[in-house]
Amino acid sequence: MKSKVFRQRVTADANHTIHVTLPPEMGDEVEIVVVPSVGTAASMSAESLVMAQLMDETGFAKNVLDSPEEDCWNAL
Amino acid sequence: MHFEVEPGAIYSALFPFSDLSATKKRPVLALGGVDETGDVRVAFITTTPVPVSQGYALSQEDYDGVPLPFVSHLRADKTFNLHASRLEKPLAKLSGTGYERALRKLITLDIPQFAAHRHAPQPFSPGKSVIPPSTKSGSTTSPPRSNSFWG
Repeated sequence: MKSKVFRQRVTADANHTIHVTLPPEMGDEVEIVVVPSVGTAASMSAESLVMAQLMDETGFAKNVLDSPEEDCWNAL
Repeated sequence: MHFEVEPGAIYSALFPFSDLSATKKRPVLALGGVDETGDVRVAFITTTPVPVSQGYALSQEDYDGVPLPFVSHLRADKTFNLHASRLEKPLAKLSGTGYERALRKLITLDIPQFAAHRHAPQPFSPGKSVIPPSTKSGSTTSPPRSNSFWG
């Protein structure tokens, strides 16, 4: 089974570039989201992140939470 | 996060939940406090109506103070452990009775499934199945009736 989420804390080199080694089971093509390593986002454990991704993949999240009718909450 | 997560309070959660750059927001009801892993059990709230078997519309009496600005349906069938860092800010708060109503709905949600499982017909297995005693005739719990009409 391919890994769903891979989390790693890295430091940029002298050229302000980061290098990430992918687990072989993740395949060759991935999406990357970069967040600062301080603050609330960084405190989210890998387990919580995986759980959140599982929730995002449910039919309820895709069909109800992500529907345009629910976007009225964005302005609050 | 600059607030304490309070059971019975409604918060806006950043959505999608696994997208750390998410800009959408969705309301959730905190069913408890933050646990030792930083997660909060929440129930989702939507504007989309929900069957009575799965939730209910929040009414003015459910709130303690200013209610949510849209008709809001509590999805008792859709609960989730969300990391507290995904909660952006408080939106509203349920009253004591409103919070009790939500918890009661959660508790009773699985009773039909439990009853269906508990009372499901069991296949008869000779020599093993227990036949419940009949209480219609020959019961020792009630004395034999005298039939005074026929003497």
